[in-house]
Amino acid sequence: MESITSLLSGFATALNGWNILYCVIGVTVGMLVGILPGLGPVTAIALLLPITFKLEATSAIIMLAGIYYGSMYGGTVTSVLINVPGEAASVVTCFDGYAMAKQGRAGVALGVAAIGSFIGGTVAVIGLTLIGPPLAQLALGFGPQEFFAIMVLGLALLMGLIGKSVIRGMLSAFIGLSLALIGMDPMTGMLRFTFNEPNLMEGLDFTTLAMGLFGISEVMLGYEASGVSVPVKAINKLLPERHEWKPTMGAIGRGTVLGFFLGLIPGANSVIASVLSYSFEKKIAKDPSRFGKGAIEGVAGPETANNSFSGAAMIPLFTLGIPTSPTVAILFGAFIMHGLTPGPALFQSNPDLVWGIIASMYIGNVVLLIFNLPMARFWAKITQVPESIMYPAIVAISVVGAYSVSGSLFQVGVMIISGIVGYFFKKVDIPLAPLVLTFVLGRLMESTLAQSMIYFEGNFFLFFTRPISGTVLAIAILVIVFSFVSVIKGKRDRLASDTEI
Amino acid sequence: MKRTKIVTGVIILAIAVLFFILSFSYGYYTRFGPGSGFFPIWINGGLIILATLFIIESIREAPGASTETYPKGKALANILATIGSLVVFSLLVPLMGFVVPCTIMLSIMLIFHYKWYIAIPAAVVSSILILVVFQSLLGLRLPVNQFNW
Repeated sequence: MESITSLLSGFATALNGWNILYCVIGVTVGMLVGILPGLGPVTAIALLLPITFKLEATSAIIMLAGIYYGSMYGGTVTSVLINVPGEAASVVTCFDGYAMAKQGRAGVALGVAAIGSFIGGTVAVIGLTLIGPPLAQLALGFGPQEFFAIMVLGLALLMGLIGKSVIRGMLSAFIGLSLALIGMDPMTGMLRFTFNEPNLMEGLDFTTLAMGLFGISEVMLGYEASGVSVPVKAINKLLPERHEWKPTMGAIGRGTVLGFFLGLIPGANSVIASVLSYSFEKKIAKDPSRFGKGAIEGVAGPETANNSFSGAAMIPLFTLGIPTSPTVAILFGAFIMHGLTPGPALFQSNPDLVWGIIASMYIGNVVLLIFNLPMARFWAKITQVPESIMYPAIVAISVVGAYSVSGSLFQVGVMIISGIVGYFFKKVDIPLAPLVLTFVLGRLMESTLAQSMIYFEGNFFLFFTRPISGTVLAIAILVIVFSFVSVIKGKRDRLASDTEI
Repeated sequence: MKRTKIVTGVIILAIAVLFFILSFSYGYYTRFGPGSGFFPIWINGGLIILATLFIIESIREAPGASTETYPKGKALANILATIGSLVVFSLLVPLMGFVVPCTIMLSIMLIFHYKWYIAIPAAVVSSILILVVFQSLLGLRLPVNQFNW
């Protein structure tokens, strides 16, 4: 009941003239980002982060969160209409979505995806409303030992699930941690790895690093992959036939539940949600041979699952202060940039902000449903924006954003180097997601570990004497061991090496 | 691509070794608890092991296992133009402010796709537009000259 009252006050914040405008701007940019191939939510949020410097924290985060869940809707459009996924989570939508489009049913594919996305996204936000406060209350009792253990588990899952090699996932994670060490030690104030460069005293800037790793490297890879443009399929009827409603709603229901639970797991991502949903729908179908040839469940399930995931992924961020995916890591950076620390205390210290953001997500999902049903034909036209315009625009915005971080060309230099590093890492299959997550969490991990070691008087094994930290660390160790075993046995599934990008 | 992987691994290994050695100068443990070097020693030590494993994995990779290729022709020219334009921008900004270097940067990127009489005016207009939107409307700091452009 208390949640409902808080949510109502959140609606008052979110419906404030400026906030609703920023919510609409956020979901519109998210749609654009989802639609334009080569530009994903991580890149877009990283690029726009510096622009929010001057905004009020609530407005800024409402807008940036809107980009995140908006992009999940937008990615469908290109998958269905031109067989090119706008973002990684919509890859599986190409299989049946484009097949439906070739049968003259592009409108139905987009309509079903929009309805599923709305239901999945809204149910996830309801989950956040109901689960968030009690979970945050529980997390208030956690000590640094528990937080450290949860972060280790998140990283173990991420390294275990993403990419083509556990070694490369771990390598990426350790590079992120090592880069996070540059600058002032959070515990003692000692300068480390700064090489007498004053610009490094505060450490490497996350926004600059993310803009280079994702924005600039994506432009370089985009130029390499730029190919022939595919004609856009026509959009006609948007709703399925009467007999198709039952299987569609079944797939939407299953996608919602699957995406929601995956969103709660640190280290999972929206690609895993949509891929698992697709596999599940195919497995339980009476005639699996329909999949890949225009099965409506093959669109409804995955599209629902990735939206449900993106809403649920906010729960660990709000309640534990732990980002579970690269995009949420950038949102975490946005909180920090605006002087806020995401975590259990946020519900008590900044209730207006938290509930304002949650309420804006309900509003954003409604706006996106309107964008995707009556306005589907309009968005289809945007798929034709040429890369020759888009890429110089990304570079120009990146330069402005990097410079504005500290008013120094040093940051532009860091961005250029990060871009080149990101390009080569993608070439040699080193996933960037673990690097970004560990970079964001590095300092927190170091300080929680140091506090725990002081508490344990230097004995690391005492982590295993506390029920929560012990269990969580044991699970993390098992995840790493199983990941290595799966590599040795050659059973490792090849999921997308970089997700939500 | 195998050679690129090995070279990448060696560069990471070299940086990890440098950071590992530097970590010892920060102090491993103090009487109050872990010192400033505690976490860096473990992280960079781990990084050395992982970089070595990555190099071994890359050496043992079967020929042709990677589907990645090096860019060629127009794609390579575009990539080099992107990096080159960013470097030129960074070098010119201290001398000229924002608008002229930004125009040059965008012109370098656009000239491969459009005729010069379209690319250059488009770059000029875009640079001025960026200045107005980001500096005047959004209040961001841009590297402008004494004339505020």
